[in-house]
Amino acid sequence: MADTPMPLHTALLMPGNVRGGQVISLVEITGSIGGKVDAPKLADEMGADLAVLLPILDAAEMLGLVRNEKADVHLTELGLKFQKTTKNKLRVIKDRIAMVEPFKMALELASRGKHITASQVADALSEMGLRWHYKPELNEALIKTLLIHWAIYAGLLSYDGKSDKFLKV
Amino acid sequence: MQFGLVALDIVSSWVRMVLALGLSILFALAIGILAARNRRAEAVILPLLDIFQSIPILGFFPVVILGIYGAIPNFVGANIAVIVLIFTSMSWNIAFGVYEAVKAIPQDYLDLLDVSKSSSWERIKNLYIPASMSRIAYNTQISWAVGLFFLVASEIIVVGTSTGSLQIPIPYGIGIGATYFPANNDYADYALLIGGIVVAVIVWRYLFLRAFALWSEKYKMMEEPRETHWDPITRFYSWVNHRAISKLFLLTHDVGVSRFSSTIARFRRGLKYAVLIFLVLFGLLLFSSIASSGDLTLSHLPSAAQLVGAEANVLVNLGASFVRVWYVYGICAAIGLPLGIAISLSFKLYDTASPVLEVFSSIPAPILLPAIVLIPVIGHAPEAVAAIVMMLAIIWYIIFNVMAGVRTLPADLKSLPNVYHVGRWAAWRNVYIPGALTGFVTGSITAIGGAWNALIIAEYFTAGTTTTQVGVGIGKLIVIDTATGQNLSLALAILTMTALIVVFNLTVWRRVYHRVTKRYTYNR
Amino acid sequence: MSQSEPKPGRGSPVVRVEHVNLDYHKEKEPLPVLVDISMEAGRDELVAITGPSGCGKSTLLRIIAGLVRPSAGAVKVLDSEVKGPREDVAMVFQNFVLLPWRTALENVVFGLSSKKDLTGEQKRERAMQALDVAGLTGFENVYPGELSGGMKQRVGVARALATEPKVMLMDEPFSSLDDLTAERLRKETHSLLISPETSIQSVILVSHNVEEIIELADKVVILSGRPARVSGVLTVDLPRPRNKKSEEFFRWVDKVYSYLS
Ligand SMILES: Nc1ncnc2c1ncn2[C@@H]1O[C@H](COP(=O)(O)OP(=O)(O)O)[C@@H](O)[C@H]1O
Ligand SMILES: [Mg+2]
Repeated sequence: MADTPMPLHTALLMPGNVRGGQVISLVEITGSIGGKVDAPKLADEMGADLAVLLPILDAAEMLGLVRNEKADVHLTELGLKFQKTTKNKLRVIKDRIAMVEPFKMALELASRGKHITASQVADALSEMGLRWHYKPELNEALIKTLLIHWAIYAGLLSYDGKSDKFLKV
Repeated sequence: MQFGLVALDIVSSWVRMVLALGLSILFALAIGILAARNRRAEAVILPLLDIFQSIPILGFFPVVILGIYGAIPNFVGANIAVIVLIFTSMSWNIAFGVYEAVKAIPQDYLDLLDVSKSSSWERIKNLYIPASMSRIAYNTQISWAVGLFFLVASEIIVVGTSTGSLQIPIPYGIGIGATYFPANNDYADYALLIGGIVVAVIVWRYLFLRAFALWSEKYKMMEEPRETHWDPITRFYSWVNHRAISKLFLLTHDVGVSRFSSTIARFRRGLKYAVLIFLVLFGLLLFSSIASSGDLTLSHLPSAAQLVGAEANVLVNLGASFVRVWYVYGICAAIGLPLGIAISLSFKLYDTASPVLEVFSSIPAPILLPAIVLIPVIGHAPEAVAAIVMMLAIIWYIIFNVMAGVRTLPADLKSLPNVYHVGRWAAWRNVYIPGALTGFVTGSITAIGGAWNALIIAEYFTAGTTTTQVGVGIGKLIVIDTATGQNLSLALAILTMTALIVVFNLTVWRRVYHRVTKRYTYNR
Repeated sequence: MSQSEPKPGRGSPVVRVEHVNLDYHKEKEPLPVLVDISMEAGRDELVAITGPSGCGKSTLLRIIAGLVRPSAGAVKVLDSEVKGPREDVAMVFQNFVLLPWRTALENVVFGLSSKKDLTGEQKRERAMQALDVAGLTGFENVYPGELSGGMKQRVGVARALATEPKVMLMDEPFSSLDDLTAERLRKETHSLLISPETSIQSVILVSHNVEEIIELADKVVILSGRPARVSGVLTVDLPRPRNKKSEEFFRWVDKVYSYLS
């Protein structure tokens, strides 16, 4: 039950400023206080503003790690498993991450061993009306950062800074 | 020794410089404010300023002097011509400064004036001018050094052009003295003149330029950090130079992908009009020059064969000069990069070397031509004379920009090779050279621009009855074409050279600059 | 790990700072910064140095690193006097100090430049291992400019670890990171550094963040005054993992503050 997939007819967008490490912190802290906590308390425990917490919470929910019900944050089964993993946690939720944009599009474009750039991903997503920033150059930079900080961590893509290219692992 | 004459030379030149500076500041305020507050003007003015900043203005000077002197054939006209040339070399950089300063005014201030319903003039007086003041002061420093070079060059060209029936009446000036004394074997006064110039430059730097900069500090907007100390080298050459290079490089500075950038798109759109305006101005100038010489060869159009022949000749000369610019630059880079790094890595060396370098760099290179011609062997090899003059004109840009680049690297980074026991070669290869690279490239762009200017005077130089000239070169071609009224060849020479430089900047240099700044700028 | 299974010789001195004085010179006038500083860092200990901003913590660390010569006194690492930067001492900086023009891997390899006995291939291998330990698998070919602050600091840690130092010096390593990131890195630090798997025998951490110190340190050296003297040395015997909300924890924090004023 806890792991019901999110409806897929609307694209999931990873918030541009959320990093894997923050989601890890959120899950760990939620777990350490019994797996159920209200958002303001969670923010307090994490030493972060509610404004900072909310996008992280969104991301964690999108990845199926927590559910946010009536202002209470619960860990899902996946979240519990995630919490117990000791190394390379993001690899556990690799498949989940692969369903979220911009990772989904990047993986699609990089299928069959193609080398891709963040700018190609940005262009393809812009065509679908998906943008993280209205300024194209910042949009591209955000997408690149997301790909680096999530897809590499999760072992979905590899990256070579010298050529600025991503490759499916 | 003729102290009075030397003093008169220096004072005359300084008066021309000050007038040109005043003119430049007025122009910069007008153009800069207009560009910053009006989008349409901005789209044309920026590329126009950029073209003027990147072309070798000195190449136009022979035409300018004939044009203006032709219209006002007396002492006044001759001086106006020189002042206009200095103005042309000084004003772009200051105009960019004003533009950026006004652009950077926080919205709150603009809102405040909106609310109080200030008139345009009140805005200019109470906000735009004060907000531009510190940038004007700082950009004036580099403009002054550049202007001094052009002053001397133009005075020397005036002497060179005054042959036969054409005697342009400019009796005094440091460039005049620098050709007059050696031509009359009066080397004592020549030496006195050079000493006088060095003193004047340094006194002026501290008495006026520095005072101006310090005074302008009070106009700084709150957000900017205050300067706590005065380090002429890093301040003078890096901070300002960074802004003195073509804006084409800087516009997309921080942005990885230029093809999306809206600023660059606007810039591109405006570029067409800017080129058009530039060509019209050039046409007018050329026409005035031709009209004044009374030789209307262009009134009947040249045949295709003439055109091709002249252009072929221009290309040969341009090719030779292109090679000259690059090999001289190569030598300067090979010396300047390691020297600049070595100097700034040691506090002691930095403190002793800086003032020495400052004095050397303050001497406008063309003034040394008569001395270089005197050097045994080298003095009889025009290629070597040209190379030395060009080197003396440009090497400072590389050295000082490299020094500034290394100086601004954080102390921790500089101690990293120590902490990790890295050998000297590995430290240079991994830390110091890459760390200096952005400054080096900035310096290189400025240096190469300077080299094209220096060509005009270095390739063909007349003092008294002797002329030192290279075999082929675009600078020589321009000077000779002007003197002999070869208008077709002259027009083609200037246009082809300008086109080559602008295209080269837009393609090669821009790419190099972006690559380097993207990877080699140190920001943690 | 070292907690449950203390090795013989735990606490025996690794770094000894003996009566160190330091004067900087301002316009020829000597300006004393450190006066008669003595402290020790023992085997398998994480020692924190704290004190108000500008009191000379970084200076002391640079003296221990051999980057600055003390005006008087001496520093000994494993009984040999520090006369300059040493191969068995590594440093992690507040502002990371990575080479932006080199990839993560190249940055770590750069730290191994002095290891003449290693081939290029061996250096790369060691660097890869260090990156892996620091949690950067997959990030070998990324440039520092493309990494977030926390990841940059991990590269800095990997660079230090790769040299297999006996002493690890850290100057405010977490203070330019955002709170969440700093928290995560702090959590990993003690177990990462003080573990039998690394060559490290002692860690000296400079920090002005008292909670951070109580979370991490086995011993705290408090500097205060101008010029700075040692105003207290405390052995923090809280069990690990330390609960930042516990009353004991707060008592320790208060205790350090009392020495600071
Ligand atoms: N190279 C130097 N020359 C002169 N004074 C210095 C130098 N480096 C640091 N200082 C001074 O020494 C004092 C201690 O500095 P530092 O060790 O950086 O303090 P902390 O790290 O505790 O903030 C400060 O007052 C600083 O201004
Ligand atoms: Mg410090």
